[in-house]
Amino acid sequence: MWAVITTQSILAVSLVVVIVLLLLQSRRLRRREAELQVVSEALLDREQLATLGRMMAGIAHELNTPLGAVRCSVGTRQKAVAMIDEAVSSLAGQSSVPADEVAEFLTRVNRALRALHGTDPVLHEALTRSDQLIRELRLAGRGQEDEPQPIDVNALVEGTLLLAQHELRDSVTVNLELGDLQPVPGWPGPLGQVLLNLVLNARQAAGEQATITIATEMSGSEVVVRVSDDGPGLPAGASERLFKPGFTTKSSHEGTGLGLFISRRILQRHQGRISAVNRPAGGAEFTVVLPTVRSDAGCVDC
Amino acid sequence: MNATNGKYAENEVRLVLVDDEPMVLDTLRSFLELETDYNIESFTDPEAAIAFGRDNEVDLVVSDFLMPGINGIALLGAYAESNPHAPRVLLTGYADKASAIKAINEVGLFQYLEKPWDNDQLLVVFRNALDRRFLVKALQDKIAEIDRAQGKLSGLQDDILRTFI
Repeated sequence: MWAVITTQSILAVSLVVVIVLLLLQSRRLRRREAELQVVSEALLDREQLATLGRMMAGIAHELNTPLGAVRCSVGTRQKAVAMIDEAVSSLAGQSSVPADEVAEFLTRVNRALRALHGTDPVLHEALTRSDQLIRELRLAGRGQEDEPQPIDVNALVEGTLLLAQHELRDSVTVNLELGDLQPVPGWPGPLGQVLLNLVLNARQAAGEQATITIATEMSGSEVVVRVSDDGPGLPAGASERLFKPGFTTKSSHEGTGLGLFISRRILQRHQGRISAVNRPAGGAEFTVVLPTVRSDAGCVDC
Repeated sequence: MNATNGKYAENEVRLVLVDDEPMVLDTLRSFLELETDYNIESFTDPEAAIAFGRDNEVDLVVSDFLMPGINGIALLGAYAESNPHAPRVLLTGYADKASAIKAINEVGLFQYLEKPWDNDQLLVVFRNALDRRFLVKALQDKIAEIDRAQGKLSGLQDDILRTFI
């Protein structure tokens, strides 16, 4: 009897000890998991900040031209107005003006008027372009906190190129093959970040003389975006690891290896997907697929 | 405005402007047409600008740095060959001093100007460049004149020698 009780007690105590140990371990694991989550969020924030920083540098560079044009044109207009003032006051108070002075007056006024007319369209275009850049930047800054909104993917591609222009204009050729698309429900800021990331990756992989092709089309009820380049293509066996954190073919100062990982996460949130292959003609091709209708089930695996 | 400045007539000056941004060219043209009588040739396509330089005499060439296909340094290099006496000015928003130094060394840059530029400063640079260009031109004309005179003189000398010997 005592022997049975003792055995049962030992078993019960052992069980309690095992349960306590398991609980402790699971708490430790949860703590580690929370810590990892914090670190991974911090890394993602850093990558997102880096992308935003690049966009900002692009915007600053692109604004420089219209702002310079405005500054120079305003200076020209001030001089033109001063020239007209001067011409008018040179004639003021004279009851009769000799013909040669009238001719000189007209020459000066005409010259000034030509400058005023010449700078007018420049100012108009500079302001329109600045306005467009600021609008793209505001769109890029939008987060995922709002409800999804209908996105014109072709317009997003063009806006992305505007933001990337700073890094592309040197000698890169960009071919656009944009098909008719239905709107995609989503978040333009993050989706633009995915496109910017793919375009800049293509530029970095294919070098200064790169040719980048961006093609869009409908496939059933999905929008398909293909970004391809004529670079060396993906390293053998890379397509497995491509979208995992830390994968990069760039040196440490060029990339964190998180761009494609984040892109995949953003696309999961859009209920979309991303894949990459090497083109038979050479170079890499990334394909983004986005549904035009969101399923109620929400996003899978995000 | 002033048709002559004592050294050269502005309406004899041929100025080439190159920038892939039409906005920049239009802005510069309006300003220069108000302030000067230069003959302005502007190009958004650097290849077309280089071709123009091969077929025409140019007094001053001003180029952007970052352009598709050919950059400003290569373009100014082509002008250094086709129009060696035309001063070369790089006008760029690419605030990269290293590129400017490279350009100065490679293509003998007269001046490096950053965008956005100051109108008055730009005009001072252009006028200084043209002063130098026409001073060199005057010097070359004089040297050619002296060469011709010397040729004539030595011809005369030959004649004299032939007459007496």
